[in-house]
Amino acid sequence: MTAVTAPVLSLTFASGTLELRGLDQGDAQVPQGCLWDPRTGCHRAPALAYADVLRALVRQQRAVDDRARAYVTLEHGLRVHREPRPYQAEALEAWLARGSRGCVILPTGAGKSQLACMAIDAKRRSTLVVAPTLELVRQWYDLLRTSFGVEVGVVGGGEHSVAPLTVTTYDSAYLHMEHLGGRFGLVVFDECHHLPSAAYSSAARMALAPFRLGLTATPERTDGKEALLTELVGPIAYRKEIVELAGDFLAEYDTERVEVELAPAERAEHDTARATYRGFVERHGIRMSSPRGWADFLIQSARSPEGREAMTAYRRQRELAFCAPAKLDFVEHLLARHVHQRALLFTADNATCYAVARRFLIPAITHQTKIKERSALLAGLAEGRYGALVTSKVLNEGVDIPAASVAIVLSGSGSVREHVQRLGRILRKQGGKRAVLYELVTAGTVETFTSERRREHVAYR
Amino acid sequence: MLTAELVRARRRGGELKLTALDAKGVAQAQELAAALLELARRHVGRSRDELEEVCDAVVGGAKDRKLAAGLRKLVYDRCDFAEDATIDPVELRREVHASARAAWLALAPEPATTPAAESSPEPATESSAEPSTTPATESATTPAPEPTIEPTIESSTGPSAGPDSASALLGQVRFNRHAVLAQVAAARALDVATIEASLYADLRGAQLLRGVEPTTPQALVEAYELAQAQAVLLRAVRVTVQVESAVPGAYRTLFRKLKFLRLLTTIHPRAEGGYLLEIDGPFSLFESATRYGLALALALPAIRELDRWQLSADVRWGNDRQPLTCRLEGRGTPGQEPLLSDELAALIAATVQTGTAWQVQPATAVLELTGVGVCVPDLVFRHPERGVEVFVEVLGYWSRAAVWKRVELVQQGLRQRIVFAVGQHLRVSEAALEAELPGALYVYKRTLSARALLERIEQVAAQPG
Repeated sequence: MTAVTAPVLSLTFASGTLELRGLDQGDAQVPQGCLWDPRTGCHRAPALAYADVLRALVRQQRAVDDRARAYVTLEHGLRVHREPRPYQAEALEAWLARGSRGCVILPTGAGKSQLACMAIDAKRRSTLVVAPTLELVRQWYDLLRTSFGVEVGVVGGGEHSVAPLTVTTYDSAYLHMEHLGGRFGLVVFDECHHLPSAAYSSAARMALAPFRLGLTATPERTDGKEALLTELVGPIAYRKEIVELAGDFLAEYDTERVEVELAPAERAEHDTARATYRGFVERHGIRMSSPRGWADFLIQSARSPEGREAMTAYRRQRELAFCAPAKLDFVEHLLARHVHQRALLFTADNATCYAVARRFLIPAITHQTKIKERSALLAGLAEGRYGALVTSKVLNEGVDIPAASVAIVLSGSGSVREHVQRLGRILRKQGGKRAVLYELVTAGTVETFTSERRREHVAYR
Repeated sequence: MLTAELVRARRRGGELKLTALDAKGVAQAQELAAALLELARRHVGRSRDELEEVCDAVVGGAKDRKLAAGLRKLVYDRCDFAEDATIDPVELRREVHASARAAWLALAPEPATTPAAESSPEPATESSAEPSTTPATESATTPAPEPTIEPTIESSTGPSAGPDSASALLGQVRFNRHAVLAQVAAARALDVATIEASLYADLRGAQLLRGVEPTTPQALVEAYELAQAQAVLLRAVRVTVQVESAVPGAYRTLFRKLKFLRLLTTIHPRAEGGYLLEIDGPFSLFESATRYGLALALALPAIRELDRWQLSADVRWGNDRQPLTCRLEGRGTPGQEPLLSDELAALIAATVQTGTAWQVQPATAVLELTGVGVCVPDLVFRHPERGVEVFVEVLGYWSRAAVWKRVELVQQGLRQRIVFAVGQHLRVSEAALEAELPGALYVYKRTLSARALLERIEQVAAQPG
């Protein structure tokens, strides 16, 4: 219908897709992956196909007016040069040899972020780093800023600034890639085993970046969708297992599990509250161990005054279990005792986190803390301006906290074992002292909903 | 807007049916809306947490909890929350934490090689007076004078565990929280209570309610019914709408809205009048996903402005994302918008007065050139003998960009004959469209001249359409 006069083809980025104009429907030269879109009278491809489409057209010696590519060449590379570990250099070589598209599998603590910096330095293209949590976004922000000596953009967590080096979360990438997808030549997917979910994968499809690097320690997914990584990022370019790297990178630490008794009055209050909510749960046949337990309890408890009472009782017994005055007294003792070391405190929820922060006047980090303040707080901890920091986040995915040698976990009745182990990994020996992790549990307070715990578990990540 | 979880709807076969409010339901909803609005108004000046607590109680006590939760959401949407900006909490925290750090260090001046308790320079009793002067916050409750804890070390692998014992705890020096706050307060010439209140004033729950948008329970319940339909569209992968409008204005608003929302529309004229619109987004070509749900929901108010509309949405509903169809329909409020502007009415009258053979009517057509754009003319001129029709769109107060977009439409091959009347202040030359095209520009000074317009109409009528 539209008369085509210009011999030149044009390629534009439109909301996460590429519009190829200048070829008629059914033209034999249409590159693979492009579909005719009758709504707009042009060919369309997912932005992911950019490199393939361009390569196909160049092979046909077609002149293309490329208006899609909106990324730039970085003015300079790394400002801080660290000697790469041998396997980092090997991994970079392997990734470059695969056309700079692929995944690198390295164990936690092996320096995956450093490898990403090397890749950015090698490609020198505008780069977007996608990470699963705001905590990791904060960490990438600091790393890129100090490594490249430039201002770094952040999208997510209430921030929206885009720069040639930008960091974002998977959630924000899903929401904003249709606007950002043309502006980066390299995308780094940190903890890329998250990518193959239905929503997140569309973020990878809506980016035109010809260069892609996926980083993870565990590409395997329970749903078996890891094969999708090959399409979205690229094949596995390099893999080293933890055993091959020996134990050099795991810090050694001691664990102390401390049980604190509730005071008699607290004990009585706890038991009454617990009996109230337990009674309600049993009468309504809610199974706390089932995956739906917590949701059922939420729904049932909102339906009657009796239910609301049960919810109040549930919260109260939980509050007593997590942050009983006796327990906080013991925290005070630990803080005083380790005042010349750096301590990290972990709580199971925000309420406890802020209660601890207020009580001891130490900084808190939760999902509500803005990235710049988080950054300043962690820098303050590293420099010794602060001695302790409390967070409701279980920093369990490759988060690197500087120089903490004491961890205090305020649990209810005991936490998932692997959690505690992961927390231990963030500790470093300091001033000749072995790192120590205290787990504070309240004696004689038992279960929380398995499903709620799982929900929180996911929320931490 | 509501979230999909708050929608009251039933699955029936392959259909999702919204549960409409009956007369009793409307009365009940208005009662709830009145109660929630009243609570919000009474909480102006107080925190979000406080408002949420009382509203939760109302919702929990309601017979139809989903209805109440939906109304609560709409009330929150009309609330203006802002943090108290008189003291910057981030800066305040920096000061407090720095002072507190110094106080903590003072508890153990030397790097602690032994537990702090044993090298304590201060008597432990000093701090026992502290809590009484501290404002009553949960975190500052009085420590019991008697030891209430018996920490037992279950497993200890490190050397640091050794010195721990209950007796070491008994003698520990207390961190004097109040003294730290008092020191910061004094430096800022404020009282401790203000420092306490401001310390985390930037948390979401601490935001203060500044005001509530004025509305009535009736209006809120009407908004609820729109919001329910919008919430269904949040889960839509594609929407088709049969539309009819007697006035071009509603079509224009709709197409402008769809373009703004970056949605793509396929327009099919219907034999019985009106159009069938298929609406989705660029990526819909490759996968059916609810990615455009929000944009589709935002387009609904513009669809509702049309005289008649019937919408069919393909949704993915529930936790299992079951594919269902949801049908919505409605009639706008005809008669509210004047059918023609004074300017157009005057133009029609003047045209008739010239005694021309051209018959003029308000237009109800949508002209589209795939991939280039859409335009919605105001008038249609028909010549009964020659069987020719020419559309007219008046771009009096539009932007130059809008004019260039229309010039492009004609140049790229718009099938219909059309004249664009353009105000002179837009600084567009009539020569921008070549004479042999079926479209022309008519640039006018202050008022539209019927004669001048008819000349352009004759000009384009002479072109092959």
